Amino acid sequence: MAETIPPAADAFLHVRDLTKQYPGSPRPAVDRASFDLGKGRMLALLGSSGCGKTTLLRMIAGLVPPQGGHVMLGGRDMGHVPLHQRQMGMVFQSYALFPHMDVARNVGFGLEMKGMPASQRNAAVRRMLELTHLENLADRRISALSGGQQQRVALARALATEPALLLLDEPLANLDVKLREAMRAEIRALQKRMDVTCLFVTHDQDEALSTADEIAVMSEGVIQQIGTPQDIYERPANRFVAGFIGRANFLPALWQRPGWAEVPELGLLAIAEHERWQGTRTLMVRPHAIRVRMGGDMTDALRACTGHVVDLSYTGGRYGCQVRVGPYLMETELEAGTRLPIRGQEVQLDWPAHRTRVLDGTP
Amino acid sequence: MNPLARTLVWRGLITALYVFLLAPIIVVACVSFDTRPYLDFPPRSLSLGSYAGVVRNHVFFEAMLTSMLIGAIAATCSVVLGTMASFGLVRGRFRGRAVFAWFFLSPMLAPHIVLAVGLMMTLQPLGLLNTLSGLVLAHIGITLPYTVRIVSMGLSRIDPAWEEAARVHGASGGKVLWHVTLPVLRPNMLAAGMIAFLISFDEAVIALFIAGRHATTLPLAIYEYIQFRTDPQVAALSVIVIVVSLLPIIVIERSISLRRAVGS
Repeated sequence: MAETIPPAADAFLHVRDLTKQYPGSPRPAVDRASFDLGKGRMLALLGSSGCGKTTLLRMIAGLVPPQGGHVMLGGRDMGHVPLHQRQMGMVFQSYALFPHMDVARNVGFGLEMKGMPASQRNAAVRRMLELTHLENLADRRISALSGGQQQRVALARALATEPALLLLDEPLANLDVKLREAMRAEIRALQKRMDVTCLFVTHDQDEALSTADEIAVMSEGVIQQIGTPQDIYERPANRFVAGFIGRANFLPALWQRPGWAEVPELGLLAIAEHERWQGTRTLMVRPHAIRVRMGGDMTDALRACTGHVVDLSYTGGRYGCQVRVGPYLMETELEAGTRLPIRGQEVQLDWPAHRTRVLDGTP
Repeated sequence: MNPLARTLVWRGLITALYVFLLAPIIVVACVSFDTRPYLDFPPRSLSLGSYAGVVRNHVFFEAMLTSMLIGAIAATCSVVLGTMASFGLVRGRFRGRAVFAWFFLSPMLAPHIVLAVGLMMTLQPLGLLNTLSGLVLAHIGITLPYTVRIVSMGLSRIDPAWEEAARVHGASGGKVLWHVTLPVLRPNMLAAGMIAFLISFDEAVIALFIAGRHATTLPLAIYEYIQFRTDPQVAALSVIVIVVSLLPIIVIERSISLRRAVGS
């Protein structure tokens, strides 16, 4: 991706080759990050801590000056726009609510800075407080609020100015699990209702998969793949993405002939890939794509691998079942309520060729 | 020792300690109501005569006004300068920052008598000896270590995300300072001002060296008075000074708590 790609026709946020290297660091925190995002859509920047996702978000906000690349928002180059004129709203991980102001003044801060007259501002603030279910807390001090309430205030403050772009930096990280799921849905509903384009940093793949329209998976400062949640999950671009999102089995695979690969010590397996490759690559199968069968039903024997159950664990609604097949330990899933194998029992595994995926590199 | 006895001994010790600390003030307060024209304890008969004497004594009254004026100006200047210095010391990234930090603390480390001699020799050629301005300058110097410390403490507790949030949501650099940073620092600035006022109001040694007839502060007036006369007026005046000093202390306690203002 060395050459610059022009923005997609419907791109509202257009990011090209954004790069940042902190002094004294051996590699860039963000390395030539590029993506386009349509108006009203929500993109999750997903990655583990230190992958550069927050730095990328802060460069787009204007809080961190990039060393290269550019950001365009609504057709306007943000390069020379001072940060306070970028018309963005942001929810910080720590919420960063102003401790010396009450809830209503926090929410109205952006409008106050814009110079909106007080009467108009009060009406806008009241509407925002209603949307975020904070009507009763308008004159509370910030220190008197719970974590979830602070989260709502931060969201209301970010949205009050009707920003062109909403930035969320791990907004749910400090909430407990139940509240996190409720807030996730609420943020999504509010974002759709206000039709605001949104960028969302998270390390939680469930959050990204369930909330965002698109996901950008980041690792070591590089965007590894951008796509819809289905794309990312079903058709990962590389070994890293496949391993990072969800659980997966990886097998070494050598090219045999179109539609077939050879897995050492296992034999021939049907694959969806028809183009020849050199050397060893990685064959990926998701646990829930694997069918586990017990007993001597050996039709389709060519594709079936026979192994022994190593471990069986209940994970709520379903069982995780580890099966040793030759030198490989395969993760599979079984619905609760079906007939279950016992530890040590012989089982056959098979899966449809189109549920496999061949990735670059060895497992 | 049984628990009851231990509690009693402990309470007794604490009471003794407080009596020891407060005894001079209690004695002064009692003496201030005495009717006899000399200082003696305990008083024979009580009246408010000495207080009336203090209010009628125009030397004391003017000295009190002078002290308050010097204290107010010195405290205000000290807070403004101290706040600016704090921004440099806490936020600045420059060579020799530690040296500057020591420079601002140095007046606290030198004995006042040494400072007084130095100030006298410095202010004399400038024509500021025996003037209000000279005394104000001296008091700004000795109060700066305290104001810098108290404001710096508040500044270092500011979450950088507050200022970032203000900027993202439309505040220019100046507006961030005016709407977020300074309001958050207000309790610290208020406490710093009160401490500076108290130090200036209470200061005697430097005033003795560099203030003359034109700038007699209250401690100086008291000092001069008791060189020639010792009557309960001095005690009454002391009680007034104590009461006046209590007000800033209450303000400090309310804004950032005393322990944070003077301790670590």
